[in-house]
Formats: sequence, structure tokens, C-alpha cells
Amino acid sequence: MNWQILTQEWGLLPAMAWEVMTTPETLLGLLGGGLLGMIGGMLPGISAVMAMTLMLGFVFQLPVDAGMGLLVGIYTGAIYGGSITAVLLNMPGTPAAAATVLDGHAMARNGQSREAVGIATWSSFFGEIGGEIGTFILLPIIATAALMLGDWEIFLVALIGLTLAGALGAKNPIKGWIAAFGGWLVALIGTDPIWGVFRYGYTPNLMRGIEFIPVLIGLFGIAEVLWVLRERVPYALEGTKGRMIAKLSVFKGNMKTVFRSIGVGLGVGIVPGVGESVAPWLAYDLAQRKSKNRDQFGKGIPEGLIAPEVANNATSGGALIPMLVLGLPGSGPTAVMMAALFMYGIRPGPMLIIEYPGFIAKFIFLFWVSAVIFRLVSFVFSKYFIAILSVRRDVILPIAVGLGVIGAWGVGFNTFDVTVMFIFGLVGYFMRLREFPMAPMVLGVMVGATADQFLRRALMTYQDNLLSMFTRPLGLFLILAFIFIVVSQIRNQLKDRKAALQKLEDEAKKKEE
Amino acid sequence: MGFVMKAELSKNDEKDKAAEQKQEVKDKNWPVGDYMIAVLFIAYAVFMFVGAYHFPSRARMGMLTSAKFTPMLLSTLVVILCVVMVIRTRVKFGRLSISGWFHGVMADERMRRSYVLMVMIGVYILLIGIIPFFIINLVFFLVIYFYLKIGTWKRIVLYSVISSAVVSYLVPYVFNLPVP
Repeated sequence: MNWQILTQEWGLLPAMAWEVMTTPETLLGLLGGGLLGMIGGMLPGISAVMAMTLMLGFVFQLPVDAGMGLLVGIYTGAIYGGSITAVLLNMPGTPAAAATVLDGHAMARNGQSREAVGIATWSSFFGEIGGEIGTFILLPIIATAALMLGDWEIFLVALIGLTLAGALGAKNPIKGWIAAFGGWLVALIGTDPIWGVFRYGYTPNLMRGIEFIPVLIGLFGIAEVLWVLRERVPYALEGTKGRMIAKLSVFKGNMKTVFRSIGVGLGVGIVPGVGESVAPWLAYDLAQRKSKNRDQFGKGIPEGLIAPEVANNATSGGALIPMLVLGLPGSGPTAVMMAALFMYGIRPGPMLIIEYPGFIAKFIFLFWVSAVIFRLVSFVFSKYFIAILSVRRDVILPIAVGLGVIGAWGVGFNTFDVTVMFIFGLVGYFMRLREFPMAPMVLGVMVGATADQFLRRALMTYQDNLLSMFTRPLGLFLILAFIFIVVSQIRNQLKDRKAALQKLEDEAKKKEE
Repeated sequence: MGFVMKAELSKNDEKDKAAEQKQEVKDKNWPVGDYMIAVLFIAYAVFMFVGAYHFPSRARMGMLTSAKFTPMLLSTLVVILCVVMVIRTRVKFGRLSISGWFHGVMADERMRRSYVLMVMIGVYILLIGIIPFFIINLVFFLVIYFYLKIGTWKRIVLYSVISSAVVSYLVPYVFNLPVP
């Protein structure tokens, strides 16, 4: 790798920044994209990928910079919008916000909706800015690291993510793991990409497979509607009048969490196919382990909201570099961006730096500008979206069902996806009755097919010497991390059980006395 | 007069006690739900395992890299985890009555309400693609808002029309999305 060529982008940054700031079309593209993305992210089922894909036709009517600005705006806006519905409605608008629900919605239920939205806004800002700065500085290193990832390591990252999500999302990790592996099984329905065999292809729709968007809407959206509206008087969010409360003082004691989560987002973001979904869970787990208030996680603690929010925004940088430098898209949105670049005649990959000097610097600067413009806009509009998303649950939740139908329909334009959404809504409701977490199942459906493919490809690669698969340095480290996570979760369970038994015994003794 | 009031009070007490007892039986047997969900997950895993068993293996390594490997491995894992969960529930809560749980579920008002909502949403989804999208939305919103008693008739109609317009026209227009 020619390091001099890679580092040329650092020197070209000021010139590219000036070009972006003096082109009104580009700034308008960022603003418009941000607004569209934010609205899309708030609607159940309109994920970042879907919003970007739907706008592709319009993008090509714009010059390259403005078009890419629009896509960057939609991407970052949708991720942020998804977090807002996770906080206020307990429905993550995008899969990246699944871990935000844990403490974000708990804060809203505790009467801190405006604070929670403020923390989510600042966290996503820090995540985006920090992630892109890290990406820009570590550009050559990240590109080299991305090349070191083999099939086996990618599979292990997916496995760690699923195990963590299963353990963190539930009081009982066994229930979380049942949900995660059950979801992974769902992901295997469809055509096997390696051998072209139909798996459970009993109908033409099943041959195509089950998409994760209808599953996400069903498990989080429909199940939430059933759960909340079964009460004669559904809960109401308090303290929701006015703009978000964006106090920076909340971050004073949590800067370590912010930097750690940026690191997690950057590092895991480079893992193709799974990075974006796994990073928030890893960041949440690390924050919980390092926190003095470990017991408060899941009950509405700012740290529990900061960690996943920073990480899910920081992944954008990590996913961007393999796409730009190596031509390998690290996530769905980067795949759409890559397609857009191809259509503009720009070929991402190792030659991009030579053919278009300064393009990477400009691209990253678009993310920075988007982060700034967009948070200002969200501050101004926060009064309205908090008010809209906080209206009576019995009024807004039926609308969420209708929007969910549109989102599920938009995946493949057939009623099969809408039916899948409904079935998973019922599954989610019954699982919730017995405290099974939803997020691991969604994650299983999202990364399951990729994980399966990478696992079997790794097995094929090392079929003559399976032992060597376990001795790859990075793979070995990931295996050890996986074992550590499983063992520590089981130990935590045993500890909690012991403590609960001790408490019961003490209470019984007190009663006797 | 005093005698009648005392009799009424004792009747109310008896009713309260009976309700409390019912609630106790329901709460005590509520973890039976774990068994039920475990049975459903096991049935699902067995179905997936049997289905996967019939997938062809083309790889030189046979089973390990074939299309059936991961589904069979995961199905087995799900069954093992479900069995562990059932054992843990049994150890933690002792013997539980399935009939007590069933009566508790049937008597629970929230469960009844959720079944009604499931039927409403189910019928709505079933009719999508058959009845024009705006009309089916309007009917769905009218029925569900009426069931949830969100206010007077005027309010129900107004909210239903606005919600249907948002879902059927506004959002699809902004995102250039075709509707069913």
C-alpha cells in the first residue's frame, strides 16, 4: 500500500472544505436530505437504505457533490430519526437504534423525554464527528485492517454481536439467546447464496426469503401497539412540552463512554454486513461493564443512551473507508452510495485516490457539515416532533400500524411482507408477555444470512486444516472475547440469583423476628 | 337497615377475596407461559431441523459446508436452550397448574383486549390489496378509534380522516412510494 497517496487526502482537506462551503447546491442537498432522512427514520419501516434507494432517481438530477450531499444527509438523518422514535415510541425507526430503546425509552417513561432526545442528539453528533475524524486520521490503518478481516473473523463478530444482544436485552440471557438464534434461523429461509439451494422454499415468496424490515416493524411496532393499547388507559409521556433539553453537562462524566463508543463504532463499522448492527450493542456492553451505576442500566440512565447512540453514528465512518478505498461496502447505506458513485462514473476502490484526488476528503467533510447543519435543524424542529410523537398513545399507535404497512409493503411491493410483519407482531407480543427481548431476534434476522455465509466459506477455505482457522491471531482474540462474554454473563446471572435468594432469606428472617 | 348494609359489605368482601384468590392463582401460574413459549420454539426448531435434513449436500466436505449445516446446528441450539429454560422455570417456581394459568389468561381483561386488537389488525391486513387503500385505512381507523374510545363521534371521524390521508397519500407522496 502506498501510504503517501493515502495521506494526500489530509493535505487536500482545506481546499475541499472551501469548495463544499461555497456551493449552495451541496449545502441545500445536505439540508434537504437530512430533513427527508429524519422524517423517514421516524416512520416505522422506512430505513436509511430504503429512503436512500427511493431518492436515487432524484439524486441523478443533481450535480455529483449535491447528489452525494443529499445521500449523506438522508443516511445520517435516518439514523438520527430512528433513534427519536426509539426514545419516544419504543419503536426503533432503523435497526441501528435497537439498543437505544433500552435506556432511551426508559428515560422517556420516567418523564425525561426532552432530556432523552437532547442526549440522543448530542450523542449522535459526537458519534458522527468523532467517527469521521477518526476515519480521516486512521484512513490508511483502517483500510489495512479491513483487508485483514477474513470470513472467519466476520462470522465471529456477528456471533459476538448476537450473543451480546441476547444477554443484554433480557433479564434472563437464555431467553435472549433463544430469540437471537430463532431470528437467525428465520434469516436462513430463502436461497442459499453458496450452493443455490432453496431453503424452506415451499412457496415463491419463501424462496425469496424473509426480509428484516417487516420483522423489525412487526416485533417492535405491531407488538408495541398490542402491548400498550391493551390497557384501558395507556401510559402517557410526561414533560414533553417544548424543545429538547440539550445540556452538555450530562456528558461531563461520560466523555470516556463517548470516546470508547467512537472507537467501537469505528472498529466494528469496518466489518462488512454486520458492523453497523453489532457496534451499538458492543458499546452498550462496554459502558455497562465500566460503569459505577451498572444496576441502573435499562432503567433510564443517560450512559445507557449515550453509548449505543455514539456508536451507531460512528459506524458510518468505519463503513465508509472499505467502500471508498477498497470498493467493499461495509453496510446497506454504503452499498447505495457506492451504486450512486458508479452511476456518476466514479469508481470506488484502490484507484479512487489516484483518479479523483481529494474526493475522500470532500466526502468526509460532507458528513461533518451534515452533522452541524442537521443538529441545528433538529434543535429548531424538536419542539414539533417531540409534540407529535408524544400525543396520546391511543391516537398515534394505530397510525403507526398504517405506516408500518406502508414500510413492509415498500420492501417488495407484495402483501407477503405485510403478512410477515403481522405474524412477527403476534410473535413479539407473546414473547414480550414472558419477557423475551425483541432486539436479538431482529439482529438475528439481519445478520443471520451473512453470518451463515461467512461461516461456511471459512469452513471451505480451511477444510484441509480446520485447526489453522482457530490459530489466526485476530480470530483467536475474537474467540477469547466470545468465551469471556458468555462466561461473564452466566457468572452475572448466578451472582444475581444468589443475591435474590439472600434477600429472600433476610426478609424471611426479619418476618420471623 | 344496618343488617342489610352489613350483609352487602360482607358480600363485597367475599367478592374481593374471590378476586384476590383468582389473581393469586393467575400470578402463581403465570410462568406456565414460559413452558408454552418453549413448546412453540421447540416445535419451530424441530420443523426447521426436519426441513433442513432434506436439503441436498453438494460440498466435498459433506454436511459441514452444505446448506443444511447452519439450520440444523441452530435448531439444535434452540431446542437445548428451551429445555434449559423449562428446567430453570420448574426449579424456580415449583409445580405449576396449566389449567390455572389458562383460566387466568382467559379472565385477564388486558389479554381479551389484546385479542380484539389482533383481530382488528389481522382483518385490516387481510383486506389490504383487496379494498382500495384509503377506504380500508379509513374503516380501520374508525373502528379502532371507536374501540379505544378516543373521544366523541366527531373527533373519531376527524382523526380517522386525517390519519387515513397521512397514511394513504401524504407519506407515499413524500417518499414516492407506491401503495397497495
